[in-house]
Amino acid sequence: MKRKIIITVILSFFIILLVGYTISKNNHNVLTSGHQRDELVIYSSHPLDFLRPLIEEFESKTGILVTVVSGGTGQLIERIEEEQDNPYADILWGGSLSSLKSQSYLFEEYSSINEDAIQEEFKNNEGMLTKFSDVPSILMVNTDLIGNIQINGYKDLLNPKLKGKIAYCNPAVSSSAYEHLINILYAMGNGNPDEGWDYVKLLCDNLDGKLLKSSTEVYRGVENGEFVVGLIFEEAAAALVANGENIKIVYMEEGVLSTPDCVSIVKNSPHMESARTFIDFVTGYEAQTMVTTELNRRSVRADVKTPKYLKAKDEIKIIHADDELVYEKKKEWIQKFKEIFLDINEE
Amino acid sequence: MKKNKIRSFSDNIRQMFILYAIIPTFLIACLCMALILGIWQYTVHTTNHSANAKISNVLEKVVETYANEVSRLSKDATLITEPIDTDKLVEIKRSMYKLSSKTKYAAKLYILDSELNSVFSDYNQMPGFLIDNTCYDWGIIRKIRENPQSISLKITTGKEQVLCIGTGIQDQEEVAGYIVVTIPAKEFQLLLTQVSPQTIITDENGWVYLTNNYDFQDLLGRFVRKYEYSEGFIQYKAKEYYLLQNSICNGMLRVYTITSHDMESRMFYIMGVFILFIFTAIVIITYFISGKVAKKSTRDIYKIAEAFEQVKKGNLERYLDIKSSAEFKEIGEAYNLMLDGLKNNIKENKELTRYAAFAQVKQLEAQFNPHFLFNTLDNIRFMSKIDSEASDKMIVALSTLLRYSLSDAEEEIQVEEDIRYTESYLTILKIRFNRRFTYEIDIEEKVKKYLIPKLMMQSIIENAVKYGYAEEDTLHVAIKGFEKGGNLIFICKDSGAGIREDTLRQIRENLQSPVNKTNHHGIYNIHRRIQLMYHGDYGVTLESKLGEGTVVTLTLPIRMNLDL
Repeated sequence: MKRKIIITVILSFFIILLVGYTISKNNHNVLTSGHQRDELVIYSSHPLDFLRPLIEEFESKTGILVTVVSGGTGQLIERIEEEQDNPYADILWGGSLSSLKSQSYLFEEYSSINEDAIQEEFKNNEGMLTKFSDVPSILMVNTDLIGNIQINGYKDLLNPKLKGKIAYCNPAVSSSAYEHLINILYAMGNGNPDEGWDYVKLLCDNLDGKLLKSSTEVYRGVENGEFVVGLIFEEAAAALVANGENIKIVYMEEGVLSTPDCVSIVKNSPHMESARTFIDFVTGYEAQTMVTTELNRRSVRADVKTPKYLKAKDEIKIIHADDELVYEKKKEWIQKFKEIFLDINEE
Repeated sequence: MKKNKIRSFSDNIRQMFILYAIIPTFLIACLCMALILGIWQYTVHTTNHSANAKISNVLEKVVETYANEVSRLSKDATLITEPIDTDKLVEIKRSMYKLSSKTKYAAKLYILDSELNSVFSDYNQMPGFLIDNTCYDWGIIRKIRENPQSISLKITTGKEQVLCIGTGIQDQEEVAGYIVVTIPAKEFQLLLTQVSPQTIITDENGWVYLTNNYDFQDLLGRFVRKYEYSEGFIQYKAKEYYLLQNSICNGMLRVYTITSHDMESRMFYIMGVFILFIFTAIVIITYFISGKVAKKSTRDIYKIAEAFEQVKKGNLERYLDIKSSAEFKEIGEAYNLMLDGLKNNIKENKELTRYAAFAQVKQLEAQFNPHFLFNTLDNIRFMSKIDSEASDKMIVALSTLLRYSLSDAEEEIQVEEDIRYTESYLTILKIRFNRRFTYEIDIEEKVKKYLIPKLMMQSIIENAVKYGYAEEDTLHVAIKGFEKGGNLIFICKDSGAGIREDTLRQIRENLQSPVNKTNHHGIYNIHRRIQLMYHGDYGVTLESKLGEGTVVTLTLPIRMNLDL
């Protein structure tokens, strides 16, 4: 009798616990029904504020769900290379033409439906590198801190007053920094890149051992006053100018190298169809218009005008690099820069 | 169950303690915990649901109100086709003001023509996403163009989040213009503070319109995709949440309400551990204390049990002294009374037995006297005629013997003294039988101080004389006394006729019975006397062979007169 009562009590106790547990488990249900939607994975070196409106519109328009992995161009390419056998990414968005060209084997050939509307110099001649925007390299200056120092071009960066105040990123990890290196070699070597290295040495000396790890650090560093001047691409600085920050854009008087950045489909992308849709979307008229009006970039399309507050291209001294040579020498130049930088800092 | 061995009283009490005190308390505590947990979960669930319902309702109502206004205005194609006169302008503006005050959430109205030029604007400045009339297919305009006849909803994420409600103005099956109402997210900011759970309002793709929670957003400002379709209790970034979502406005907007219960679940966890810890401690403590308590409260029972155990062993001196409780005191007193009664009974019994034994011994002692006396007196009469000297000697010996036997002072006497009297007796026999009787006495020196019952040897010699002369002419009696194996042994060996085997067996059997069934009194009386006096393995053994004589062995305890 006694035993029965005890057993009943214990059993009912466990039943109550069990019921409680299942109720609380049932309380977590995932409503997956009818939500099998297309997906797309984008590796991008663009700033998040830049990506946001474009991706938002893309998702809204196509219903494709986008996942973004953000990072430096070099780092993302490395990751794509590692994942070659089993790619996670569908799109690499960002990275200059010269930095991607040597690794174009990582990408799928695709010609967007908008190829006809693209300016002649930005046509997808390689097959796998669709151009997204025109990105001139510039110097951004913090107008609060510059004082009386004149900065009109590269030569002004050698001013001893700027020692340690120059934000520059390692060209091995950032494509914008690599663009600047090419720009320096051509501009300071007067068309002969080999002659530009003397200036590189002097510049490295004036960097005072400070070499940043991503282009984000460059424009954030100048914006928050850690540095006075930064070597960066136009859009990053233009966004800050448009926001009313105390930032000035300087187009180097020695010459500005303007290379496009690219958007490419990763080879064997798991969502090939979505990836193609995306390339068509970002090169489309609407997206390109948004890029220029709201996001401070120069469009690659012939039918989209440059925003008014960016200097017209014909007012800038534009120089051109030898694409073939730049492609050939990429590793060598990056290595050489590294050696120079290390040499100076060891002394 | 029968097979369970009988437990001690204190174990029973202890077990009862654990069974009826600790286990139910523990179960009740657990039950209470579960109940509290359940009630709390239910509360979380209901508050979250009501908050979600509240926000969803408000939002849906506002959107619906403005959507109705938009679709009412869109019917009027003249807005685009003809210039808007002042009356119409005032009417539109008044209607918007009315809606604003009705819903309490202000909105801005924009009317654009098919080229995206402003026809009517509620605000001095056109918002950025509507400025550029070169771009048709973007944002709300694209959505309207996709579906010009119905209401389109779009959240614009720029510097600020804006909800756009728009539709196309139809003119002869063509899209002639667009009507857009915009509600900035900050309008609803106050609403979110009116509910306790955190709220996230997103569009159908998870882009956040308004939120007061920033944990559930990814880098781009979307609701985290992993939980986009989740509901209920979830774990996110190692914290506990209750999440609820509700789709409103035909699925174009979603309202998520999130209750963080990290603190609470951690508290429950700690409470659970704490209660478990306390109960473990209580169980351990009660396990030991209950033993002690049980022992203390059953101490008297053990006293009683022990006393009974002692009585069982024969110790009657164990009295009980219990004062702890009235019941046990009563038992203890009753026990003491019983013990006294028992002792009295035993004492009386002992005395009775002693009296009986004493009477019997006296009777047994007295038995040899008349025969011997008669024979001796007859001899003296006869001897007085032949040898007066011998008769004189006999008279002296007899009188010594008589005095000795009549002296009641002690029943026991030292061996040497008894032997002296025995010799007197033998002297009488020697005179009586003359050459026909010989004897020898051999007593160890140390034996002489021991005590033996008096007149015992005489009875044995008398017995030997009585049966020894049956067929022989002469009789030799040898008496030996020595100590062996802690006993005092006397042997009386005669050279008489011996006893027949069947008679011998009869005598031996008779010795074992408490009542004499034969007429052989001598040996039996001695044996009985020894048994009555000494209790134990003492007495007489008899060995005999027909024609070869008889050996009578007396076994006695060694006893010394302590007075000497």
